[in-house]
Amino acid sequence: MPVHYFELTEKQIGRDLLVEKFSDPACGAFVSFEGWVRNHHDNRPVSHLFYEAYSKLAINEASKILEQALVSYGINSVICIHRLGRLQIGDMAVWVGVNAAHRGAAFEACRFVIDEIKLRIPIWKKEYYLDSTAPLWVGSEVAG
Amino acid sequence: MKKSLSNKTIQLNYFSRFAELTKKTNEAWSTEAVTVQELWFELDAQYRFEQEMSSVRPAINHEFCDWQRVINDRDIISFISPVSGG
Repeated sequence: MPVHYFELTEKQIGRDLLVEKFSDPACGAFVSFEGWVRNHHDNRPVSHLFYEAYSKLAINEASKILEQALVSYGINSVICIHRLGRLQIGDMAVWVGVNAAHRGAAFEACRFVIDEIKLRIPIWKKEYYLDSTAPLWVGSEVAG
Repeated sequence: MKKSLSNKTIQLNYFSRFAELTKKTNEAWSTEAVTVQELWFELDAQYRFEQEMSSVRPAINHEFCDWQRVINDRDIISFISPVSGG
């Protein structure tokens, strides 16, 4: 059964349960993307992150992105989960899964979804550093 | 569209940097601004957002909108600073 949804969560993302939703005899391809918290940014050592979202707008805008992916690439299902709150180094911040009859559409749609999510969805990442620099909202010019 | 100077009470929601600068996550705001662009200038004068308008996107009632969108009484309005999800 095709599924498509976007979810924000403060809990750890459980990839195994998500992958099970993509089992479909009509689909020969499944592609996923995982974004993990890394320990550096712009040559500064990162200690942890904090994600904040404007949830209602994020869900509204994400549903448009997923709908666009379904229509443009002819995929079967697409799910995107994004974490909120405090994340440690190595935690999974975002997961995107796509299945389709063939791999080309699955790869392209997965890339499209993560790129658009990063570009359009009102989610903000605040980085905290191990050195003496002040925490920074990434994308903003001003430390705060 | 005929411009109205009537006073409106709207709800402002703030996120990330704007929440920190205003020290608020939301507030009721009384305004005579006709468009969201006029409202941005009004708020920028009040709070000094130090953010180029070109890097900000306005939203009304949980949907993105353009800067010339006319404000109605009881609208829920946010200004979205550069995003960094993923």
